[in-house]
Amino acid sequence: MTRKAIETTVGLFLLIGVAAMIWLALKVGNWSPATTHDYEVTARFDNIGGLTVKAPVTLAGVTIGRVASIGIDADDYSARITLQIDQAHDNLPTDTSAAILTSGLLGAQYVGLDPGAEETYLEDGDRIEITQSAVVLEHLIGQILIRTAEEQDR
Amino acid sequence: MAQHIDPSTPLVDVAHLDFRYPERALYQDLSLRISRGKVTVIMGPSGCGKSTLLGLMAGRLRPLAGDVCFEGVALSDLPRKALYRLRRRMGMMFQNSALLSDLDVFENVAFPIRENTGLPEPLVRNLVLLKLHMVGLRGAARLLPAALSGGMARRVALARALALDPDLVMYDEPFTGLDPISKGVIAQLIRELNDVLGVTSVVVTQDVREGLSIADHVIVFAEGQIAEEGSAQQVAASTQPQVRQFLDAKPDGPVPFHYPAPDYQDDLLGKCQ
Amino acid sequence: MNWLSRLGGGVITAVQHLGRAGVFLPGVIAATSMLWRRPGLLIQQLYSVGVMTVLIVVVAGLFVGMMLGFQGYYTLVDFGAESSLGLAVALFLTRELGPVLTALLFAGRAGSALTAEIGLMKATQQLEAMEMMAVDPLGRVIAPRFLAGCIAMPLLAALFSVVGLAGGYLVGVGVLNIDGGSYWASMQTGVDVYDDILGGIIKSLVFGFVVAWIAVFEGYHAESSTAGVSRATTRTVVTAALAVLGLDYAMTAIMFDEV
Repeated sequence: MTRKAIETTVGLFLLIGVAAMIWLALKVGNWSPATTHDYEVTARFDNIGGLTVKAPVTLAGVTIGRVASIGIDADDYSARITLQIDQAHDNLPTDTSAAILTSGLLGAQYVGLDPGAEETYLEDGDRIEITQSAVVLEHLIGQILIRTAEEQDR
Repeated sequence: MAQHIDPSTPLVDVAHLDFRYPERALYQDLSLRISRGKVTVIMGPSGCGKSTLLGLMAGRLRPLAGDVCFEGVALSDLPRKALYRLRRRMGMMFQNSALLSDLDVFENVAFPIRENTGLPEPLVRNLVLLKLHMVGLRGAARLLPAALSGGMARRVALARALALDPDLVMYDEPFTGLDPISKGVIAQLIRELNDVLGVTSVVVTQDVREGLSIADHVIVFAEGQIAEEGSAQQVAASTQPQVRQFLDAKPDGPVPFHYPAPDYQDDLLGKCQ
Repeated sequence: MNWLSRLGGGVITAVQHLGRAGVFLPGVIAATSMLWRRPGLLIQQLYSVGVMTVLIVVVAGLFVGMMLGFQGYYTLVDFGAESSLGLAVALFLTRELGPVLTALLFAGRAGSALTAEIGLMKATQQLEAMEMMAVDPLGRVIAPRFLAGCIAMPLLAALFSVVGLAGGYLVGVGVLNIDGGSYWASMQTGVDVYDDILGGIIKSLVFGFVVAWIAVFEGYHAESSTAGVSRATTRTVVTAALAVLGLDYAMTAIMFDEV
């Protein structure tokens, strides 16, 4: 092995190792180096179902941010969540609506945004007024059972 | 610097040295001098601490009492850095050559030069080839130590010991395990390099014939003490029983054939614990 | 009373050993500073410690990842959560198996080689010869090997995790017909950069440090004989493996506490 060949393989080794680390952080850990380029908006929901912190926030199915925090509004006992949205998408109209959706029947839950038609855009600290709570499966099944029972009664 | 010093003063002065390993005592109140430009041969049976003496002279081991002075500088209270600087003026050839096994012959000889000086590459090359030529192994420059015979490895070790043009060269058992031809070659090299380069040589050996043949001054050790000292002829004519047993290779004498043991008959009968 | 004195003697020897290793470490760390002037020495050791360990790490990572694919699937499918297979495999690898298994392989492959090499250099008087040539073996021999171990280990662990994830993908998507997109997507929802990825990297850094330390210490303090070197090599593998597993438990407990 010549000195040059050793130096090259060592360089390659270091490169691959560091690349593996960065790949783990970016792809697996979903780390975005530029966290400062986000802005935050809040939204209130009656029920968030199984939504968790870090769940994706999507617009037309594309992930544009994630859930930063989940809390309770002390005034009306509703759930208050903070959404962290990429600064690149700073043109969401103020009447944008948010819904808690489920990927697949039993999959993880996420927040879906539906843009409105206003000329003014959401800014850091604003609140999304129009929200649609999570569909709680037990409620849904309950409703179906009641309806079936009513139909049978008729 | 060396020119200002009176050539009659000893290069190495060992004074009232005490040294012991945890298991056994080696020296008590040992004093000896190594004269400049001479080949001093230190002989004695194995296990009498001849190699340890070289370790003490190089400052690798610290004496319990007394001191070793190299050109008037006491080694034991020298800080590490100064000691390392002083070692550039010493060369040592180890019993099993101790060549660095992952470097070839050329790089082994170049090692002390590269590590201790910032000489440019062409000069390093010239120096190394010169040293290798002196020991007759210029042609083996690109061989790995594993490919060398015992005698060749010793010669490379010799070239390496001389790489920094030291004032003092120490040889630890240079003849052990060599065939008669290689022994002769090494003996001749030690003698010639000593005279040509003007270095001071200390040879530790148990080979009586080769030792006496190259010596200006001989010191014979027995039981941690100097049993006889003088020129090769003086020592060869010694009547000291310990020296005679060693020189004449007698199996029994002051150094007993038997390791200390209880009475044989008692041992066989199981009376001893 | 014999066993009692033997126990006491054993403990005293162990404590002495530990003390010597502790005294040895600062000297080694101080000696690494000379490597700024001699990067070539470090590169040489990165080759024999790092590059030579890549193959075993990649092969082991692939098999472990494939095994996790099967085991994770059979556990998750009972809960109807097989779409989270990617998440399960990723958490297992980045938090635990990547750092720990890599450290064990590293101790067996690179650690034992380091100890044997240094021990043999000592037994053949090469280290003494360096001292006589006014070269400090701590800087010339020990420091580059130690530092190379510290650098190589986290990189190897990351490599192990990446290859393991690919192995899990092969089994999950190729054999068990999970959706490929959800394999990768499920990871991103559950793996945290700081708790999981960074935690794993910190673990592998600590393991690399400890394994390299044990390996060079055992080599440098090996008895100068064939039997002594072989004993030191065995001790490196055993001590390093136990230290890695013990430290893994301790660090997991600490990191768990913080969550």
